[in-house]
Amino acid sequence: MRNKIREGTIGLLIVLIMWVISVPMVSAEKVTLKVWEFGGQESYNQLAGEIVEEWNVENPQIRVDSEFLTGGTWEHYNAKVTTALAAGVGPDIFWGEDTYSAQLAHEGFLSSAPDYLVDYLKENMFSKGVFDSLATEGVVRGIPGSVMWLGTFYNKDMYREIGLDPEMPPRTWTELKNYAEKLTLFDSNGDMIRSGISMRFTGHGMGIADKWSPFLFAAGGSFLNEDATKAAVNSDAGIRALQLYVDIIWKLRADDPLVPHDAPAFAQKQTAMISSRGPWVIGYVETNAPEIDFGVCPIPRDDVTMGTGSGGGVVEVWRVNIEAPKEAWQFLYWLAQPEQAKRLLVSRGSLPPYKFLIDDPSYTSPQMQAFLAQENIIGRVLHWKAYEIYSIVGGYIQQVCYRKMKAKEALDAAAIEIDKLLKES
Amino acid sequence: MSIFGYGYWRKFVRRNRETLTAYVFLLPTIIFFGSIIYFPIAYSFFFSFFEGSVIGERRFVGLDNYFYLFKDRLFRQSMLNTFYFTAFIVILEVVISLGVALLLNRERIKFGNFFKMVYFIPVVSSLIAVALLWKWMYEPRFGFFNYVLSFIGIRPRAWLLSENTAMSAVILTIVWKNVGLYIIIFLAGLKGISKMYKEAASVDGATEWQVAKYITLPLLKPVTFLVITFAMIRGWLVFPEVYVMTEGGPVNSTRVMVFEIWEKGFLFFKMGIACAESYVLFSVILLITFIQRKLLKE
Amino acid sequence: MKTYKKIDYTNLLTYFILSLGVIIVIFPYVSMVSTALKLPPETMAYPPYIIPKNPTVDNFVMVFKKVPFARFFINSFIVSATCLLVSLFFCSLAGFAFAKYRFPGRNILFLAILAKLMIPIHVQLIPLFKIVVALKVADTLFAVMLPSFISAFGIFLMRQTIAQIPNELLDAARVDGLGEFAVFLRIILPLSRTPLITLAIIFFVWKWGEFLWPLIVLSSLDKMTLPLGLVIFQNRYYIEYGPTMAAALMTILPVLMLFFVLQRKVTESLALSGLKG
Repeated sequence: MRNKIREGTIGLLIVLIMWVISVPMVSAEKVTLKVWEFGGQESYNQLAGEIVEEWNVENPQIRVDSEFLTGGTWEHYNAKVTTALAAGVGPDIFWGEDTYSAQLAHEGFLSSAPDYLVDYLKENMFSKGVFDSLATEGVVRGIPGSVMWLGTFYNKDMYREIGLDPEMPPRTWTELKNYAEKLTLFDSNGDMIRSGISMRFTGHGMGIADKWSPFLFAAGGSFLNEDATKAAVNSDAGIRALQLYVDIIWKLRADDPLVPHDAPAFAQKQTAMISSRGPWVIGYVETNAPEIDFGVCPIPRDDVTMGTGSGGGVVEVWRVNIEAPKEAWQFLYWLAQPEQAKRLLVSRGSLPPYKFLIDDPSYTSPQMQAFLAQENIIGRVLHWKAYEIYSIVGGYIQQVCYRKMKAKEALDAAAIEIDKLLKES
Repeated sequence: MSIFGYGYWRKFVRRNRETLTAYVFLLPTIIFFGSIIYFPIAYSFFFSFFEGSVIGERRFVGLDNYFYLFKDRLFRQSMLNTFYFTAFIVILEVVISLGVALLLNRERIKFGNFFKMVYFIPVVSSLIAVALLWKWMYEPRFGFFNYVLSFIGIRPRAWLLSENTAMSAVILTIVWKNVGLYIIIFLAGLKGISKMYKEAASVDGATEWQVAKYITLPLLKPVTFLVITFAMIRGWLVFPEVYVMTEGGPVNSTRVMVFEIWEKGFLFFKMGIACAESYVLFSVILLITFIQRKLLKE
Repeated sequence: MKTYKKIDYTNLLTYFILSLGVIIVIFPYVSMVSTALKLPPETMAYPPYIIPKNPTVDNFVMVFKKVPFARFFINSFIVSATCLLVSLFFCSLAGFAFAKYRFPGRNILFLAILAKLMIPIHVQLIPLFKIVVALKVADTLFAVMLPSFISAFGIFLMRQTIAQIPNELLDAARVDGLGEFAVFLRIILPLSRTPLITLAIIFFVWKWGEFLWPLIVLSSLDKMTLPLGLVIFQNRYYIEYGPTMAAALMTILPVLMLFFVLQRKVTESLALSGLKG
């Protein structure tokens, strides 16, 4: 018995020692703001680090510690932030995707912006849609970290190849379909080796619905009705917008589920156009395929309504933890000032949310101008459950594009699910 | 003897020495399982009767979450997919590993260690690394899988992008990774079967096939059962491969239960439903394991 | 025993199938190495080819530059090694208790432990994370190790194997005056060397490759483990395959080398681990 006790204690001691070795040293407390950012390119991370240091020098009593969580997808990052918040160890300030973090807002994790900041934003932002993305249930809860909406990309070389005028990109859906069909290339076996246009219907539902939304808006449709109480995605406009996808894939055979898609495909010259993507593609193509002469145009209009409406992309919002000190908002207010905002947003490849940025030289290229020409931006946060709503619609869009359902059937089913969702909340 | 007397306790310890020792040995395990394993599990179970996320408003909804599940098409699809996944994975893994083990166990086969070692390499390779590797291999244009297949005259396909092939592709990856482990387990079992049986049989004129069929396989039953159970449980809990390679698509063809739980819990903040789903999954696994046990007892 | 004088076709066929298996296993690794040595235009070449035209180690450099990959190695090693030592100790102790002692509640306890094998980890994630936070060890390597300190599978296996140790040995030791714990240390453990090695490999490999829990519990870059580093080149838009394969390769190699060194022991131990049900 005594033997055992002695040897048992030794064993226990070993474990305890190992435990102690790995317990971190607790740092002394001061007003420190912990900031989490979903990292971007090297250059951006470096610049952001410098800017944070500038703040720290100017404001020694409020220290900002910024961490760049690089790599991984949005889901990784979101899961991390969520778990951290749920456990009470979340960062004070963090970078959040507008729709996903709207859910966090509803759960009470986010604090609301002070009045002086809201006024400042109202005064200086030029797009109501983007401003709306900062708010959940009417309350503004952040400043824009990066703003993107969507545009249509096209390969000018390929246009020239088949005799289309590279300075006359498609302005209507009819032209879009027409050009896409002509730009598609098949090989001798009948396999598609170059799609005329690359649309988004694979991957997570959220992204799919997001890339489709400008077409929905262009047709005059919307996801929800005016006061966000019922689904409206299955309107005629919605059906027409979805039918556009179906026509392009199955009637005109200008896109196919089985060929490479998106920016990588565009850079590899495996697709002639991208139907809707954000401005980051500009930098991507210039880096990876500088020899491609490409252009951007506003999302083509629906022939029936000739309406324009753009949106989609993502507004990344600087969020503040409800448990964070008030100083957090001071820091964000400072970040939203012209000097900091300019450097950060441009380096991030963001579109300008602020009026004072519109004339910045970084936005003068014809490609950027094509983005800015779209005036009627519609925000994504139509409801605090927008993330789920988009995911539902996206899932159905995929069903339709894979020919599992018809457009009307799918949108009606989506509407039913959305209505149920809205009722629950 | 009073209960507070030292003598009482000495007698107690002496009489129950075995029990006490066992429990002292098990103390760390009990504490660990209690706090780290079972407390969270119980907490989640409790949570499955509520709706909402972990902090913030929470409404008691009783069995509503469970009723919701039976009507939810995504849940049904996930269950079905998981069922198919597991069935195919187990069948393929068992058949292939058993077959290879039998081959390796043959009298005249040398280099046994070399083969065993090679087959085990995927087993020791990190799961995420393997998933990424195969995601790369399955790339329609520049992936090697299609390239190699083209030599046998199979046309290139977008394996992970077509709902008909995505599941098979992921299954192939998983089987590729795990087979080595089962080969070694089967080999261990085979070596345990006395050579005498086989020699006696072949002296009697039985061919290798007959020996295998009537002697080896039946004697291998306990090991087979172990492998099947183990493979099955791992099949039900598949997640990282799906997450990395297909994200549940296309059109939900690779959506498995754990992925569904992940999405509901972490992306849509419906922790109550996610917990309910976990318990349904758990119950099903339990049920099937029991059934299987009964079946193999015969 | 018959002896054949002509060509043994079945043997040939067997070797053929086995070699095919080897190719199937090795080829993906070859393609991984090949991709790791290529830069973007080559990685997306069509048709793909194995030997890179312009081999480069840039991808590997990129991996180390973008994140402290060397640090990840060290962290992964600390986590895996510690977990395995702790786990081996407590699992064998528990296995011993279940195998060689009779006590009330034995069967129920054992079932409770086995049941854990069938529960998906997500169920535990948030409550477990809350516990970690309450203990004030969030974002530490200890937190990463915590859920793996004792393994249900380990207890199961140890019980199986310890049960086969003849009781006479234990009784003899007891007669010699050894306390129970000493019996454990001096008789049981040495005799269980082979299953312990098996478990060691399984635990190490499992912990080395664990992704989800470290992702949740760690946020500082310098505490991260290898698998977290694997997704650094997978951003929200696309995956950069060259560096990803380089990182994957570097994740796999150490365990592989460890395995080669120990491989004879592994196969022996698995053979003797008495998997007879």
